[in-house]
Amino acid sequence: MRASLRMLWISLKVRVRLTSPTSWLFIAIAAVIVPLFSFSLGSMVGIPSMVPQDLLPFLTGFLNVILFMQISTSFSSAFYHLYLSRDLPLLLASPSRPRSVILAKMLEVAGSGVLTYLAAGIPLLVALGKAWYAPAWYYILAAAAGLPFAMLPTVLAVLATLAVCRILPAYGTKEISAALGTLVGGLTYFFLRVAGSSEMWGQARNPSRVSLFFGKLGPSWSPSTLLARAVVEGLYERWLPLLASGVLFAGATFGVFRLVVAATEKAYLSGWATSREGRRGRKTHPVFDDPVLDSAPGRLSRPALGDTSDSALRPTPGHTGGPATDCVQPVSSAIGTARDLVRPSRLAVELKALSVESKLLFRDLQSQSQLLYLLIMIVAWRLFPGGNREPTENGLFALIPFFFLALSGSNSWSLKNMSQTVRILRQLPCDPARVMRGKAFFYGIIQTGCIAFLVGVLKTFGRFSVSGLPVLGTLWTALSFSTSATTVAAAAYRPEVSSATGIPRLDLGAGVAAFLANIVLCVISGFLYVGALTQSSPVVVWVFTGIALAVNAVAFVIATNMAGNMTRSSPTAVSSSPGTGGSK
Amino acid sequence: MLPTHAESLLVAQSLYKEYDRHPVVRDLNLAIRPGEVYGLLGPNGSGKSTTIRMLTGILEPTSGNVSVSGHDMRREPEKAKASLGYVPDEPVLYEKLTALEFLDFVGELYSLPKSSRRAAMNDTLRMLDLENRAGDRIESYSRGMKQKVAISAALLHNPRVLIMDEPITGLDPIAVRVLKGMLRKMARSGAAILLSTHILEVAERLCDRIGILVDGFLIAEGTMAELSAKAPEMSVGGTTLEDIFVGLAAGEEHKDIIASLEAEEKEPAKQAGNGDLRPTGQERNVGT
Repeated sequence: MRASLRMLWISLKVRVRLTSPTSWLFIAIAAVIVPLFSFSLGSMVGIPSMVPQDLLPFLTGFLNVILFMQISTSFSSAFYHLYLSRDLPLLLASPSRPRSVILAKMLEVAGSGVLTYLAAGIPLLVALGKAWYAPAWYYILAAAAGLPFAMLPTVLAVLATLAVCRILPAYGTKEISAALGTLVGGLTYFFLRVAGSSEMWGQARNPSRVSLFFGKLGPSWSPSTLLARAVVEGLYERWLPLLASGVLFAGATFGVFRLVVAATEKAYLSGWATSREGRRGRKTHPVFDDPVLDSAPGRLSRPALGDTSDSALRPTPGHTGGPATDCVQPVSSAIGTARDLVRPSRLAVELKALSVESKLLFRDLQSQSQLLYLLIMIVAWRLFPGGNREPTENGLFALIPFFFLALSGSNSWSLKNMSQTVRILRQLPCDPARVMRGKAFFYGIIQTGCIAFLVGVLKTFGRFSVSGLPVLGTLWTALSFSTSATTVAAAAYRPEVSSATGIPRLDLGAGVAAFLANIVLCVISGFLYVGALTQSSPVVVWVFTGIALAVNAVAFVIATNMAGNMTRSSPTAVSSSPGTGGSK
Repeated sequence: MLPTHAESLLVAQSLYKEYDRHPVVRDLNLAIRPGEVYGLLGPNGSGKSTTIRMLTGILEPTSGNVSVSGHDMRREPEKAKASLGYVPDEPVLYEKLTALEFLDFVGELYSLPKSSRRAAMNDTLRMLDLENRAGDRIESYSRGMKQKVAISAALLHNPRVLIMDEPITGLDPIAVRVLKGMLRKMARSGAAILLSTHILEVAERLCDRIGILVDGFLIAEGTMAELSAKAPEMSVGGTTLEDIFVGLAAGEEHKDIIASLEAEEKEPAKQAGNGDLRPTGQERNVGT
């Protein structure tokens, strides 16, 4: 244990050095705001007027909510501190017992859970202590219970990490952690919607209803129940039951934790948990797994990995490195683009780019998790017991948040692989604007799909009614394509990847310009939509719609051509990519 | 002759490792004496990294034992690892720390007193020409500079046993030369060094003994002279380390590919020998 604490202390010192000033600022703000908010929770749920028989179910439920939040944070923390931990080989090779290293790592995971307990649990327990005039040792015990209480979520998270790392290939783990985090985040959102429902808060300050509601959230054998029982016994100063509950709670938690530490140590030392060793066949270099590179002309053929069915970017027989016939003609004018758009046989490059983009997106679980999040939001909205069940009269307003969600989602997706795309496109005898058009098409389809899905779901659940849906649908589709094109253009302007984090960065100026352009397009389309709705003649309605379509189509063409031009002239695409090293 | 275990600093006895019932390292016996540089060679996926991970205590063998400086890795991991330095194939570094901060952290892990820690840090950084950039964050370093930091971290506590997995990856020729000198110096002072590399020239020049690992089996071991002498009986088609390595490690398919490529290479040379590329009389006159 002493060795683990030493290891923990060393790690802590490193973590403190690794924490950026911005993070410290966030920590400082959270340290002030979260406890204040949590303190106010005490009076919100009516603790002072709570009768003793309501106390146990209420406290159990509340601790369950904290437990759930701890599980949420522990999942990503366990991935970060164990599987994604780059220093584990260094620490395991250092003169320390492997168990100390694993224990230190698990305590680091538990640390994130303790923080949640400190931020949300302690203020409530303090509020209870004040209301019941508890003695000083009650507060000490309440604080000390934080560590064992964080151990169960740690255990669950570490076991889940081991299982996931074992089942899924190594290269997807970061994305899996994001997906898991999103899933848990979505469920937390659902939980909060439940907790914030009118059934609970509608009966203002009715502690019995609150207690009953919270009491349904956890079984009687859970650690939350055991801790809640210990707290209640402590408040009433009943020593023997307090001792029994406390020992049972702490003993069971420490026992399980110890078992899992041993199992984790075994799993890591045997190589069971490190799927890199266990799944040797899956070890691939990300660059060589790139479908764009795989299909690029001039690249050495690797038939096992390439997709032989598509030939748009493959060299034709006898191709000697000159311009590929399918992509050689630069299409710089709107007329040329329009001609291409009505002749599908000329869209081979765009379709290929679209297909590659879809592969990149759908093989990236992090992106999928964003779609998953959308789904969870809808389910949560549908299921939460309170809230307004009456249809919203104006669907336009109801969909505004989702529209912005789609915009922001598209922005990050198109940015994600832009740096690689630009580098690859510069090597190819191909008009980059056509590839950019393929990208914009793809994200336009995704956005349209998302919005159609949301509209469908919301209409099915009767959450809103909207007039002129065909017109609105047409406009939204057009807007999706044009705004995708502007965000693709913004991403193509100086695409950079942070060498520190590997996260793609959007140029601030380009991002702002794209955002403003998108707002202008939204405003124009919105005016034309409102104008169309006020017309009685269907012909005039569709004339308005046609104008809006034309505006968006022109924006699409201009933006994709700009993106193509920027690909050719982007100065920092290569130099700022990771892996190029470089000195000052 | 295999040295006796008593005099060896790094010993692996009947080391066996399997994943999902698939053997990766099979019955490996290894003993490295003080002052010896041992080269572990093998094609990709032959089990070198797994072997090294077992020797460093990062992985536990399915069966068999490892001992470092006489300490059993399973029973006394702290004592065994205290005399061990390890350079992994990919540098394990905290990118947001400076080289000095990182080395300070490693020194703390090895319980080096602060005064000697500082001196050791300065020494290794100076030798590897990192002194001027030691205060910069590691994220701003090139691949080679990161490798230098990883090497400095492994040498910081003056280990008696040094295990290096592809240590010269990314290093410039000057740094490679310095590293070779440092390793020889360490060996002269009695350290045992295990080096895994794909650069056969380095292995040939630097290593006192070489072991070739194929499919988890240590199929050949000895000094360069011993391996060359054994070459005819191993029927590997040559006596250089490259010939021996390819002869032992390459599969039949690759041997055929190599043979056909070399035959193609000889063909134009033959044609050139027949007079196609001979200088004309005029050119000869110019030459004279």
